Amino acid sequence: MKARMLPTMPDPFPPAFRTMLDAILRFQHRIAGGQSEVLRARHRALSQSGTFAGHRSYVRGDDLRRIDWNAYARTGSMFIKLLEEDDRRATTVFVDASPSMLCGNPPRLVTALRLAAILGGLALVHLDGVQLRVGAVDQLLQGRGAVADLLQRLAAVRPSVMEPMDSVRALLRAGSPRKVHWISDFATPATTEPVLHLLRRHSRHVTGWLPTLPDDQTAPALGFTSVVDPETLLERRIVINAQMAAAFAAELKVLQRQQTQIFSFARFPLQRVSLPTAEFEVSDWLEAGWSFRR
Amino acid sequence: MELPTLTSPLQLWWLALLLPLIFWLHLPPRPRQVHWTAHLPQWLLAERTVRRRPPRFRALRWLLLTLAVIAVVMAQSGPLSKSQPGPRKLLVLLDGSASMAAPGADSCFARAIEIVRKKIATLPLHIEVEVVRIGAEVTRMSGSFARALAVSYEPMGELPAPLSEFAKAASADPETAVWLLTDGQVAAGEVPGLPAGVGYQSIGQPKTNVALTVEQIEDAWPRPQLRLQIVVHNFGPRVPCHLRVSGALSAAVPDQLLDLPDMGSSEIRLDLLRSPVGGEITLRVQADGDALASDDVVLLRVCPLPVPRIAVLADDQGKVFVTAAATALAEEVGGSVVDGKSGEQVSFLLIEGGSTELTAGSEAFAAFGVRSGGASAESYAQPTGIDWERSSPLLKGLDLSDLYIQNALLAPLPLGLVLIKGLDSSGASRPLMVLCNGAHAASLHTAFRLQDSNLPLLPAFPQILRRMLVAAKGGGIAIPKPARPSLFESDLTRIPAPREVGLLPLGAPGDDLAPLCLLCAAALVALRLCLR
Repeated sequence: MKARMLPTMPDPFPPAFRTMLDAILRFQHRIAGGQSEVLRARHRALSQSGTFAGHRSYVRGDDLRRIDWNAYARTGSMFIKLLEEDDRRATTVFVDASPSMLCGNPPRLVTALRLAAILGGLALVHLDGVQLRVGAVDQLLQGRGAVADLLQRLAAVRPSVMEPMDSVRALLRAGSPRKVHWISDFATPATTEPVLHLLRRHSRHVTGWLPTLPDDQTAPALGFTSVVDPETLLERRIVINAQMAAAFAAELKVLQRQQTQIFSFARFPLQRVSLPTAEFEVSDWLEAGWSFRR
Repeated sequence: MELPTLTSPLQLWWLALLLPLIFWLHLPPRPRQVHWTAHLPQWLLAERTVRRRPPRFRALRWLLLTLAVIAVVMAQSGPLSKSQPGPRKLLVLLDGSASMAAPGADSCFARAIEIVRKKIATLPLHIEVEVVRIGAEVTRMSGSFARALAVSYEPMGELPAPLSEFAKAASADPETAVWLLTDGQVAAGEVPGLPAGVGYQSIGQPKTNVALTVEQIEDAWPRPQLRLQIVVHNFGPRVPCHLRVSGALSAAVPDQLLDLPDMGSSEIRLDLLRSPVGGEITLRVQADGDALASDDVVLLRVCPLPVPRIAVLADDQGKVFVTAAATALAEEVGGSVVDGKSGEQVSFLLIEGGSTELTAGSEAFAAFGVRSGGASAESYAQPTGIDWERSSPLLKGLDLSDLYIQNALLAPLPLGLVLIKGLDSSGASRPLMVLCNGAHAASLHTAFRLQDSNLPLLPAFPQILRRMLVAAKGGGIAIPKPARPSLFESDLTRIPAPREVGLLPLGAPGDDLAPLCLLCAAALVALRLCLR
């Protein structure tokens, strides 16, 4: 087996993306894992229940019913009351940084980190904090000002091999928030499924994020190709012809079904994220409203 | 286990070129692209679905083809197995002496040739064969001629040296096996002295034999009388023998019955009259149990008798002397005197006086005091100091001391061998008799006429004329004495019983392993083709 170098990873946060992230956070989009989650959150907001935790400045788009009018009367500025809600206080962003995430052009890990930046940024802006878990690194960030720190930490991520089960156990031991955003390629459903069940047993709510690549749908160009697994660096020389490509596409569909099936069994949502091909298309991508709600 | 010997080891350099080439050709093609994927299991499943295996290095196929190429190169380099030590050359010494012709059609020589042929037929091709036939002459055959042994030769003569000497000289080379085939006659006392390792086979059996030899020939040429003294040898018990003379004879000779003694000989004198036309006279002896025919016959080749027609040209004064001389010469040589006229065919011409246009040496004639055309007839008197050439065949043994010449011509004689010369009145030496030899004839010229000398009266004159006639006919009259056969070869009683000493085992080169290598290569290639 000839030793190979892992693919290099470009800068995940170019200026265009940072501009786009600022726009996202400025528009104060709310993060929602799904329709049911939106409804539950709205119900909790209307109930005005919970322990008073503090104020924050009003931004456009906030629910008017949450404005602390007493504070407005005293100060003349509008503030939003922050109630102590355990399940909305913070969220966990769990990024799979295994070498298999380096596949694709650009690599799947780039998209995963950008997605983590968006999710984490939204959590920092709207919630109390975010617990970032990348590989073996566990970091708790809080407040709007931690967005830059979040981006810095995500940009420093390098591929590392760690079993997801070990990472999740570490999260549970650390008492992570109940809401978990798991960004991964879920290439091996057999190892993903017990992790989901473990999280389910610990009353965690998981949203799976799967950045998709063109290679997840079809085979690469025809010809004699050396196929390399970044996890194990195993190499397989394959003659890709039409028949082989069709068989591989069929296997990919089977994999997709397995991925969907294990999340369904765990009653967790799985979001497949299509990646933009160029940075300037990011805004269009966001406008498509794939999973964000106003 | 001994490794095979390579006769062309330089061919192994092909391996340095072919083996890397074969290895390179067996390497699978390099992928044109590298694709990093997280779905390697899906690729493997798809590959299993389509039942397709990627190109890879086929070690077993490479190994088989490599072995096949090695086998082919080995075959090309001429592998030989272990060789058998021993001589690589067989030298056959074949006795070709006269005794090998006995006893007739199934002679020892024919049997020896057959034995050698059978032996050569069994020899492998790598053995170099050389046959040396030793008889009256030594001939050597080698290569394909020796293997074919096409001998058109009859044994004759005697051995120039004992066969054991030949065998010793030939066996000095350790790479040569010597095989001596003889009737045993000469090797009877010499076989023990043969070098070790020399093969020997004697073929003959003791036989009785009668041999005929001509001891003396007395020829009365140009007269037909011929006297022979012959000896008939008997190598065996007492036996009656017939002597038959036939051939170019004027009178038939009856057969003679000879009673040959035990291991003895009988001497016979024969007086014969040869035929004027010449030919062969055959002397043959016949006896019961005679084993060797070649020594029973003697052939005498006799030339025709001259029977000359002698003509005379002379004026009236000298005709008496020269006619008498011609008559005497005709009686001596059995010829006749004919008229010397135009158109007459003559074989010898006597000219006395006058002049002639005949060129000296062009015809057989004797000119006494004859001038050549246009020469002066002036003469001088009484030449003195007459002397003659005593070593000349014409005057050898003759006495001319009483020769007296009254007048001799001053005109010079033709250029030739001066036989008689004298001094003229001024003391100058002048030739008096000259012999001119031409291509086909000879002529005798004298500076004096017979009537001016006492030469016709001398006893030497008839001999001079007779010798002149012999010299003018160009010679060639002597009967060649037949070669005296070797009585040792004729004595077949000295042949011992057959004896045989085996040949040394001949060396053999190793077997050629090239076909085996090629067979292995073919099998390896076939096995490789069967592999998928």
